[in-house]
Amino acid sequence: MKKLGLIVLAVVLALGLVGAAYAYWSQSLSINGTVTAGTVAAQFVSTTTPTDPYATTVVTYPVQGNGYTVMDVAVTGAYPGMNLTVPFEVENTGTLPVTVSSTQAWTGGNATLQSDLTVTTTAPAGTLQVSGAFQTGNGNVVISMPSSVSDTSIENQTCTFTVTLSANQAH
Amino acid sequence: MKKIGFIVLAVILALGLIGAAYAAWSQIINVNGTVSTGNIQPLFENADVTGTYNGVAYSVTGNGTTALTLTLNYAYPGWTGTFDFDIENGGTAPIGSLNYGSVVVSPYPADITVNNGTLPATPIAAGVDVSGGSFMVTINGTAVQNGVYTVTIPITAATGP
Repeated sequence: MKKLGLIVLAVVLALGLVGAAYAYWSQSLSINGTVTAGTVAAQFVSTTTPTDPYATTVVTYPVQGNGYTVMDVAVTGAYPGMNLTVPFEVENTGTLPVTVSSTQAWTGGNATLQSDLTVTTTAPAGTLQVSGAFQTGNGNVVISMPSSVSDTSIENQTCTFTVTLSANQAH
Repeated sequence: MKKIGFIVLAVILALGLIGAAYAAWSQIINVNGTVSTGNIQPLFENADVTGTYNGVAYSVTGNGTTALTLTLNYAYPGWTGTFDFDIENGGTAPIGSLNYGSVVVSPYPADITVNNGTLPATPIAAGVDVSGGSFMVTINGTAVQNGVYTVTIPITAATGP
């Protein structure tokens, strides 16, 4: 019984020593993190209005909240043989580099006139950086009607289209 | 079993990567376009109104319209007259070209000749009047006395600069 008592004491002492080791002083360090997301944003920069000897083009920017995100192009007096280039400039106003792609669709008006017109969009090439020389890019919308068009039913008619430019995160 | 679990995990990771690629941010800006066509409206202008030319009385009606009517009275074989006219573009689009069509003379085509036709230079912008149109009428020897002839001289105007 005495032997058992010794053993128990030894165990208690041993544990006591271990407990002393765990009781050494310590200090915690912490890292606090804050993550703020960047933005993808783009807008039109006002550019020159195309000239044509017979057709008149008016370019306006009806939405001017956080820059020009809508560009309205109104062409009057279109005719067979017209080949009108409407330039535009897109500026990267976000915090991330972007590439720009385009799609287009007719949105209304005379269907025959739509079939006789060709609208071609060239989006700004490459990556628009967030600052510096490559922050903006140039593109254009070409509106043309072949001189071979002879259908007079499209005289004094109107049709509308929308070109959607998508500024996409590049990285 | 472990191997299957690894494959499933790999697939999930792969799908996750694809999802991340499609979920990259983008912003849309639009170009809204409206295209309205014009029209052409060729009109005769400044054609001689009335007069006498080598004994033949003539009158012209139709200035300001698309049809010019020339009336000759007391014409005779050998008579030749030249008539001038302008063309004005009363529309909004340019007249790109003007061309004479085939002249039709009735009832006896051989009795009257129309030639030496000229036309105003093109293009003719909207609202602009351009001179330079003319044609020559010749009464041939086969023409009948007191005959009444109708001559149609078509001119086609087309768009384009």
